[in-house]
Amino acid sequence: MRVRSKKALRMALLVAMSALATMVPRGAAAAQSAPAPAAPKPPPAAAAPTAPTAAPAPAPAADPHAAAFAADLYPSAAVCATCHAAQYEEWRFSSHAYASISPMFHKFEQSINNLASGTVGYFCMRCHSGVGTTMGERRDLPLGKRSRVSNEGVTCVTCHRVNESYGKVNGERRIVPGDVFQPVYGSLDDSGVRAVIENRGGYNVAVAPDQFGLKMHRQGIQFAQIGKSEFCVSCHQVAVHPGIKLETVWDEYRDSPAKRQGITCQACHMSTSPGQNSGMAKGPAAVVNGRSVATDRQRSNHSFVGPGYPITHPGIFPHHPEADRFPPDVWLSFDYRAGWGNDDFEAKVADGSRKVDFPKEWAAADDRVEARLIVNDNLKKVDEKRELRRQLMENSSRIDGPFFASPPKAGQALRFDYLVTNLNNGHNLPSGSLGAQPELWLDVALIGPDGKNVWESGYVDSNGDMADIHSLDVAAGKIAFDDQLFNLQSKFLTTNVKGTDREMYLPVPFDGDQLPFIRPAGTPNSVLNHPPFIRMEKKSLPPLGSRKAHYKVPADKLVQPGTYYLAVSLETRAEPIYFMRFVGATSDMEQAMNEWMLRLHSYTVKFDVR
Amino acid sequence: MSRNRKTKFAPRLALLAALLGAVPALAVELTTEPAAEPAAAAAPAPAAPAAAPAPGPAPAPGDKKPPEMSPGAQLTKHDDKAFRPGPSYADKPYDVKAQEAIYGAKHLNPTTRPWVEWGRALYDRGAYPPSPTWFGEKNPASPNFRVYGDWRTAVAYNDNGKPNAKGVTDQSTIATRLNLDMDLGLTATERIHAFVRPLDHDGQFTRYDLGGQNKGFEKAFDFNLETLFFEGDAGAIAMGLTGRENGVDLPFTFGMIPLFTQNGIWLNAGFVGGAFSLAAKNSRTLDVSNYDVTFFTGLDKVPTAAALAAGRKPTDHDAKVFGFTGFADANRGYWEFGYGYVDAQFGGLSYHNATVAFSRRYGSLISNSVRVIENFGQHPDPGQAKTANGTLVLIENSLVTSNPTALVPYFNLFGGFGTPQALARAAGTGGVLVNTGINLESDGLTGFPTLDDTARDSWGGALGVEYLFNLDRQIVVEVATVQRTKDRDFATGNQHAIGVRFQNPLNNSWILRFDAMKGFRDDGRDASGLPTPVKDIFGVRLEIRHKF
Repeated sequence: MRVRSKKALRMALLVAMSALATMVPRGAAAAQSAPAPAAPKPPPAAAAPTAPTAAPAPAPAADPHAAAFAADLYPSAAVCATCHAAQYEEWRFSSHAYASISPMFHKFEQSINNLASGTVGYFCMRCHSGVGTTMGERRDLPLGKRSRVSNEGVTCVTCHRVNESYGKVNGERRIVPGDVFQPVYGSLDDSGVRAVIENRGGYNVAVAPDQFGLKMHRQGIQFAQIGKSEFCVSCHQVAVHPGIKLETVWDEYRDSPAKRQGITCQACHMSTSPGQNSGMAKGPAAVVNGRSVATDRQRSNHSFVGPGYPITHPGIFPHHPEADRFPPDVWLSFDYRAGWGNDDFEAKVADGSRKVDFPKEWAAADDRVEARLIVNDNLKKVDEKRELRRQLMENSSRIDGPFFASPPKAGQALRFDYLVTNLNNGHNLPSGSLGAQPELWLDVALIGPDGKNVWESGYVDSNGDMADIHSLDVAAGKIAFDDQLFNLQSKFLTTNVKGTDREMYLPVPFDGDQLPFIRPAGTPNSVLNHPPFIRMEKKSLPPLGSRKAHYKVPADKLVQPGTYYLAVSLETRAEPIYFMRFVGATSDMEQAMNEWMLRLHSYTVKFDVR
Repeated sequence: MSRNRKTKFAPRLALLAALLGAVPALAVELTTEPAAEPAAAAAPAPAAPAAAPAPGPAPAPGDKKPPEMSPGAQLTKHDDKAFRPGPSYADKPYDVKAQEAIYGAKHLNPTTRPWVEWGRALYDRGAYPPSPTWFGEKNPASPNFRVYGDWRTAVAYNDNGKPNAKGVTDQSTIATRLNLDMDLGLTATERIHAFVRPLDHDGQFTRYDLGGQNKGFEKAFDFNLETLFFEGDAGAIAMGLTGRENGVDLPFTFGMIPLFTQNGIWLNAGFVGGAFSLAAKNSRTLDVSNYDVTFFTGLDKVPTAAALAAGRKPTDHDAKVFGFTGFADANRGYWEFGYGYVDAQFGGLSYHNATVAFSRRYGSLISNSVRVIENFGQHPDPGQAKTANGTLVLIENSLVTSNPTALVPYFNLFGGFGTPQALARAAGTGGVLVNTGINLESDGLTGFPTLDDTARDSWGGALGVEYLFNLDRQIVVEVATVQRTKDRDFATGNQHAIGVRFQNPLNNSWILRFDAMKGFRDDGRDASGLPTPVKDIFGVRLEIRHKF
């Protein structure tokens, strides 16, 4: 009896402590102020032995001129465009140029920071906005409050002001600070720069602040690594602590035939033909005050064609020389989808047949028309990119089939295969930013003799997602699960509280505790591939690999003899819609993601069913 | 002798085959060619179907040859309208506020920093200074030192059913544990890492026992290194030393290394040794998107119950281990495999330990892992019983729900035949069934009770459901059972338990956790089959944890 009362006492104590603990107000605890972000650290002076002068350190953060001053140390692409217009024209719609504009990046970056209680910090920003992060810009600044060069993402100086040979540094690279006169780094010799400087008067250039003329860098320094695959590794082979790989292109390339043949990333992604080792173009390295420099030099393509594409407002991206007259926030209020600025639209507004309550920034028709010209110009550029993406992807893949298992017969199930091949010898298909989970899947439709779709695999739901376990429509029972789906998308998985693992939108585990922190691993994860309880599962095709897609159409879909048609297409999309929703993407982002996606190798065959 | 071993293996292999066969989708996946329908095969073929070409020499990049196909198929005009339509946005006008929020509604989060951050701060902003080139220009240094971890304190009432001399079986306690990670970063790929637990020693935690078997304050302090290892990449190091890019990735580690595979089931231990990995390989021939193979050896402090000879006190030098482990992304799933040879120093207890596992999602219904651990080849000295001998089969399942990330019903089964052992398990990491159910996992702090987690001559499982709300808190409810497959020689009989876990972060660094379990246990049986009475078990605990 006494024992029992002691037990009761202990239990009571436990319960009381529980109650006490639960009374800790969450709000009060959470209200602790965020640690003040570290003040931007002054960029140390350029230390390259070849740099003639050290750049001055920027003023402290409190100085209202600090941002402008810092920006002067990292010249904008617009400055470089003065002499390197052709490169700028290629770059301005590239994924590099898009890196810090991408709305999915910002949604993703905010989400992963929320989920990791801020412990992932500026990890993502180091690659996507390397200059802005180097300048100490806060990650939550809206576009309009960032410096121009920061909004340029992977801009000229992000690569051409790097003079250290980095490996797997996960974006932690130093960009050498310095004004426009400071040296730049490139893969070729500096004969072009020297030629201009030796004839400074003829070209009318200035290489120091006290000189008159077009300002330019006073030296071009050959930096061998910029022409090698290893240069790309710092941002294209990326793992976040505790060792979760998000980008694995180098991993794939390092074990590829291309690597063994000495073909570099640049050879295929800066060549004349997207994704192919077709050689570099020839052309002038620069045009200085109308005079071409080094006219017959190798000129690598700076559009860096990949499968990704922009989904942001077309006034904001691609970078446009005239778009700056409207700030980003103003651009975002420009309803380009409604036709603002188009002749028809404006005519209707003018004659009163269309009433629109324009925001005050867009009250003037002239502004809308000017904006529309920029939007149309940019959309044309995105369309041009789409064609390049198509070339890239179709150069890198092929479909063969159908291969029937037996002669098609009415009233019998139809079994057939397609064979999908990765023609690319440099990396898996698909590759790229696996953190974004890019999609590549096969859509196969069977059309009956009456011209109606009788069966399909690879169809999408009302959001555009494949009908797999992530489809909201499948979960709601609105459409059937696609049990024959051929999908090459890689997935993240986290281990359940107990037992097996499950697909997760982000590689953040919540089953151990609900405050996952990003910290260096307690285990040597580079020899274990991944940290405990988190992994990536690839389904991509290895370089030059092939895989069969097996299909079986039920007998009740082939009742009627006659001529049937099989249509096939390889679908590619930069991000899954379910993932976009998870990170809070807007409807416009989803729409753009779907409308700019590509169908590759689409073709149809006919065959008889007897 | 050899015949005997073969006879024992056969049923285990048969069981494995049966288990694999029990997962129809996996069986389908393992079949590379779809079987032709018998009726169709017998019918006269109007056009001979062409077999799909096996993956062979791939066409050249940019190959624009028309697709190959069965002779009965003929290219015709293509129209994308053949496919079902995609989504429509006609009813979704441009939303200015939502668009502005993309860039304008970002925010900083209250963030807990490591206790110590010297040198380069963790994921901070700002410019980097020029990198020191201590290890060569092509392996720039980024020196930093960070101390982080967590501090756990729990109050608990536990009744493990094991009476002391006075017949008391319960214990109330407040115990605390500090996990300190110390990480010295040298370059992006090289570091030295140490881990200490200063508030516990030899399995005892600093605590105040409120009553039950013991009462009073118990201090347990030490700064023993639980792990201390160097991790680096031989390719990067060579690049620094030679000044030449080499295209080699060869991660390796040595020291007191913690290795963790298969969610800690097969290997979860730190030992003195080394490991290296052939990392991130692929195979077009086998259609493997990605695979790793890691080779390891443990020369001292290998924690395994399999090497403990009867009558000996455990020492750091009881066993060595040599082996490999790896994974492969193939067959639309994930293969894990491993082999280790435990070189026991006493009692003739050396043996082989092999494992294979396959994880995949099947249809819209289930996530599944099938794991097999096989112990074989142990030939103990006369008078010494076998300590590692048998098979463990784990079948782990969770349902894919309409809220697949947050609502996770699970059903995990196990079958233990003989005395299956993990390759190595550190003290305090629980038994080989630790990942089967919450009722089979202790708390590593207060002695929270569990069902028998050894899988020795038993089968059973756990049925539970986890709900993660908005990924910001957790509740788990589970029932579990362990059933004996023999009629004698076990300390406790059949067992069942119900358990619950609740976790709720209080802010960005403090977490509250509550666990409770009640276990019902049948009496054990001694070697002669006579009953040995046991008590039921019960535990309830509340933990507050600070992460930093």
